[in-house]
Amino acid sequence: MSLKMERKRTKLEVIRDILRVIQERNGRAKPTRILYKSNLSHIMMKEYLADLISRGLIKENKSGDSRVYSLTEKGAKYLSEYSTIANFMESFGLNESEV
Amino acid sequence: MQILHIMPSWFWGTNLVFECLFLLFSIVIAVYAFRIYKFTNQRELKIFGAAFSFLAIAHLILILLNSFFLSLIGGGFRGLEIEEMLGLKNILMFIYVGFFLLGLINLTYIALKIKSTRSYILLILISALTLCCNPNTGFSVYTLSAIFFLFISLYYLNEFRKTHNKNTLLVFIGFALLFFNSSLLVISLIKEISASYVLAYLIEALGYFSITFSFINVFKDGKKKN
Repeated sequence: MSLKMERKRTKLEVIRDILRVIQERNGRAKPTRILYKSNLSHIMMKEYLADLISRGLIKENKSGDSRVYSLTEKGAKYLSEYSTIANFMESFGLNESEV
Repeated sequence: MQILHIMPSWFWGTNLVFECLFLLFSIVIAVYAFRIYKFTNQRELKIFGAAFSFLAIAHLILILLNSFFLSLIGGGFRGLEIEEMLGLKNILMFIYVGFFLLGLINLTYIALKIKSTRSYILLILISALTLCCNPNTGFSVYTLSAIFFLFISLYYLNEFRKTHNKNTLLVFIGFALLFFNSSLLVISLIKEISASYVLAYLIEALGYFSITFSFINVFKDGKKKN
């Protein structure tokens, strides 16, 4: 029996997947939902979320102990232009693998 | 005596049009690369954008220099002799060479696919020393350019083999043409053939067109999928 290895996602693809999860939940999603749908480890998810917040693609809303992440206008723009961005990166050899 | 170009006088003016186009292409690509960098924060995009920014500055300086000489020089074949130029023009010429090579070094660094500041500095030092130690500046510039363009084009050929992306093939063709352009400029200096210089300019234009056409295709394909 052979195991088929999936190609590693690029950073762009991971970001897209996280933003899509939030977009599909009407622009707001809890961390557990993102963790489940984005197929990342808890540590990687935390790193990516922190990175996305610092870049202004998502916002963190705290309410007591619970947190909700929402999509910003910039994040929505990223999703709408994702194909062009990904094509540009691939065409000009600028992709790197998921770290 | 340093010679950077041997250009027939009838080509003066036409070369300015080409340089303006190269400037425009470089700016457009640099601006878009930086725009995507704001989204992705990916290092390669910053370096790529910087590369085309340096190339754009180099072309701008060349436009300024050539515009100046167009008003002064006419008739017959002329060589731009660095040592005989006024101080300011000398400085501008070396700044042009510096920015041009910096652009290529950035692109070569991306092609190396490593994260090493030391390697980047090494590329700069090797280029700078080659320029300083060789009395024939033109020969050094074009030889270095040819080596960098060869390396970059082979990188894109390898990328095309992996991805089978037709835009990557166009980028490979573009940089391969720029390699031929640099090689021809070396020959034009050695043999003192001014026609080679004109042919090299045409090949450079084709190279830039190929890369820009790939860039335009990215948007066309993106609009269909988005």
